[in-house]
Amino acid sequence: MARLDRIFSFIWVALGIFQCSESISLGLGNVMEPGTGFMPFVMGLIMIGLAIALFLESYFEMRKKPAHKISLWSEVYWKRVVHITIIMLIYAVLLPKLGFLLDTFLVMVFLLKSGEPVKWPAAIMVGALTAVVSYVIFGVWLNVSFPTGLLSF
Amino acid sequence: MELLTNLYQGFQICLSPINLLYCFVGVLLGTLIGVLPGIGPGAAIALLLPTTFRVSPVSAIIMLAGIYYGAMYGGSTTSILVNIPGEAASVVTCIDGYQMARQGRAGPALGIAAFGSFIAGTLSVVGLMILAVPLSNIALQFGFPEYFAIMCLGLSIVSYLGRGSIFKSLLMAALGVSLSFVGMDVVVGKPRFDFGLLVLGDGVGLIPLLMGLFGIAEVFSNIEEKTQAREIFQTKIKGLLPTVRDWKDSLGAITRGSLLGFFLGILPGGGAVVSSFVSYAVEKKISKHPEKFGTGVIEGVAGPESANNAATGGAFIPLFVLGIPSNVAMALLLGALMIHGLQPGPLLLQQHPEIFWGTVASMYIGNGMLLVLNLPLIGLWVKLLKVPYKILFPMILLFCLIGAYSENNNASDMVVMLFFGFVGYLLRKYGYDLAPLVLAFVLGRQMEQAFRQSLILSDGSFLVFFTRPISAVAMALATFLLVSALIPAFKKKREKIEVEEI
Amino acid sequence: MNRRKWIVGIVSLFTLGPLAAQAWGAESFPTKPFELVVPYVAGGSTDVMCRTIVARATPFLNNQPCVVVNKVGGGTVVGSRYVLDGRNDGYTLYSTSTSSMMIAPVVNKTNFTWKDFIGICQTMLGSDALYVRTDAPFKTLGQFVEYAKQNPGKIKYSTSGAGGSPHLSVEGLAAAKGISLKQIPTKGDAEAVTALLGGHVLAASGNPIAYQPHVDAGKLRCLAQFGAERDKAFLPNVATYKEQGVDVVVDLWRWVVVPKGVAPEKIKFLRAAFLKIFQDKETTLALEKIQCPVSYLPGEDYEKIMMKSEAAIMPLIKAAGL
Repeated sequence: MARLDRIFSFIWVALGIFQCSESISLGLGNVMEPGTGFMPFVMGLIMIGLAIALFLESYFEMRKKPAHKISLWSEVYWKRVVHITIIMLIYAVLLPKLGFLLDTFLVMVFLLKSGEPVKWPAAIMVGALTAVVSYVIFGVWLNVSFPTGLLSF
Repeated sequence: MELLTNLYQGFQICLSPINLLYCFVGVLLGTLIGVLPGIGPGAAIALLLPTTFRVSPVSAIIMLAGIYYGAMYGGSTTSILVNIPGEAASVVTCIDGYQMARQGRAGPALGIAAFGSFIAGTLSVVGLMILAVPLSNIALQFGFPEYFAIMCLGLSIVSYLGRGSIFKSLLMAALGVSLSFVGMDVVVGKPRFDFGLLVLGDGVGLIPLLMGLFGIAEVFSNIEEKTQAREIFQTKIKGLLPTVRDWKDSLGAITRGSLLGFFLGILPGGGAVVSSFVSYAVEKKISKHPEKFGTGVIEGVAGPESANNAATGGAFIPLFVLGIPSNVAMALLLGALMIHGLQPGPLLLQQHPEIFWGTVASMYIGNGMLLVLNLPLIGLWVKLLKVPYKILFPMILLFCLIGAYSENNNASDMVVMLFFGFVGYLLRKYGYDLAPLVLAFVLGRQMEQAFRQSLILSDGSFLVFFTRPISAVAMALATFLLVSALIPAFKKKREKIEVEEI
Repeated sequence: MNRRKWIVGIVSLFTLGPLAAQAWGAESFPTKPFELVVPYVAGGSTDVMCRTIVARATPFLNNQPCVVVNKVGGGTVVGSRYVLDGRNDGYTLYSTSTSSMMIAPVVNKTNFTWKDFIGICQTMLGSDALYVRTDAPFKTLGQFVEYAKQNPGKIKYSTSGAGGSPHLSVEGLAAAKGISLKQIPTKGDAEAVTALLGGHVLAASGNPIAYQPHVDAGKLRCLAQFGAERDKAFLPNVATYKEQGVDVVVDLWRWVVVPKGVAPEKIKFLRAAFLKIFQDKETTLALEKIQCPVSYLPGEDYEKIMMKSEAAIMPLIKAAGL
């Protein structure tokens, strides 16, 4: 972890620098009337400072204990995470077009198949049931206005 | 004593069948709303406002108030069961509560949350009754520099929240504050950091942020596990209620949490959130086993849950005494009062004491109802966890999606949530604690606003924070806390101390 | 495969069925519920007013209910954009105000103006006002101005938000009288009132609804109101800017509008419906109960009112440096 911390601290420094530069373009104002970018700039500086501290801390850590490589990515199904994210993104995009019921049904089916795969009949049943029940709870009882998309009745 | 006669009159009012019914409906709805992530008490109160038009003012307020403090009971349920905080005040409950659920101890966690909430809620009503007027005068003494100092104090608590490197916790806090800057700049009235996206026009939404960082990221972390043989939730449920041992451990936390919550709840803007975090930090600091916090320690649930419920009592004080709402739900209650032709303000207590006392009395009853409602439900919730995770997780994800959407009826909020889901997933992998980020996010904007307002007030002098008594004390305390947390970190370079591998 | 056919069958039923149903139904207006968009948070004065209006509106809208939808953010820009970018089928109504229509688009550099909307009716005409504590060293507007002249930069006043109409109104006073006043913006009337009550600022400006209770309790005093004429319902005893020799007028009006492009016969229907709503005794009584200065004007007056307002507001925006 110390090795990863060291690498990550560079990301923090980059983020801090980005924030500082954006803040400057927003205007720092003066001490009497701090501008829009004042606090963000200060925060950016703090971020850079902390990143350096983290770097040093992990550096000294590594000196004490030999760094063994931890792999965070090889023992895990990270592709599943990507699949699921894409499915949900599509849900968000298609929601106004397909309407709540249809979109939810489809998305549930796909999600159920993307983890430890669930067999088709079960997936469709659970998908349809969830879509309808959540529509009743949220759309009807709680009056959340869902887009009706293709199913406007 | 005049207090008791007033209270007696209050009970007379609220013990009528109609008002009892309204109280029950209110707390029931509140609990359900609290359980459903994304839809907060604010939305529920807004929805039900029209139904109160034809009812007497007292009944309306009794019901709407019930929704508000009822939601605090429900909010802990999802935090414990699936690591999704119902609102920011329940975030801290996730830390140890969820871990307890994974160890098969969801029942005791839910139980102590319910009991703690009841005790805290009741205590805060007592406080409301006795201290309302003097406290509201003190609250008025808090000006812009005082708010800034309190926010700084709240932020310095961050240094006690995380495990492992303090720099990583502070980095999370810095990130949280920076995220809170996205959106409309209140002081100037111009947008910033929104990258041209309309969805970010009013800042990063709290609900999408919470659901993403906690709910979605948690699902991601579980899904990627290859060893599916290990169930996410222990199937052997270890008891449904807190044990005697649990009670012994929690009683102190509950008391401390109640006091903290009540007093901090009076301050506008995030009283419940801050108090839950402070309670957690306090419990961790005075505990005999601080390193166990985060692995499923019951005090980590009892304290914060009590604090956020006590804060609801405190939040009513500015509303009833001064007619000033300290958060959105209170603003809606104010609207309800207005619709009934009542003018919220200092004269309300004098001209219509029955509103105050009727509501206060109903809150005692309401808290009792909530306890009775929530305890049997524990068995139900625990059964829910037995559903195989491969079927459960899509439902959790759907809940999050709907929750993110429902705040503004905006699908783009879902995308924001997914983004933070991914970010949260990465941050957890690399060993960062997310709680400091949330606290910093909630406090960040207000801190900046108070800072700039103070400087306009003082014509640019920084001394303003140190020359006024309240803010000077708070600033000193904040500095002390921060420094005392940092010193060990610098000493580590020389001494041989083990660092936890997270 | 059997299963496949099943799936195809279900999905097609889901999609084609309602499509067919819609094709058959004749299109008469209105056939579904309305939305009244409020660009402020629920519980605020605009929100409460709108909820009161729609509560009794159903019989006048062909028995279709009208639901209040809150679209908060960007200083009302989020709400405006939601209405403009949505369907202009006449079912989305928008409650707009001086701040939302005149000030916010300019200050936030958006690309829409009042010309992108069509007016249905005016709902209220009111005024923001200027308040001080009763124990302040000034009791009239004149004394206030004097104090400011002798103590330049000392007077700080709180408002409900930068760039709102109360802010503009006070800056207008400052420009007209050559004094310097410093604004401390807050996130809403509640915070502004608290700051004044606590003595952290010397004055505050905002919606009278938030301040009146404290005036009644004897803690605050109203120095002036900003509208063209005295608000008879609310502030009958407070002189306007004009009456006190300040040539600044900021009327706080609220209108119900729809986006441009809604069919003319729907506009006619809506205008007629809202006329009836405001003739309904129950509605006007309820509005008075929430201390809303009702002032109905028909939709045909929209352009006239907007142009007048624009002419009055634009110079103030420039003077305030926004």
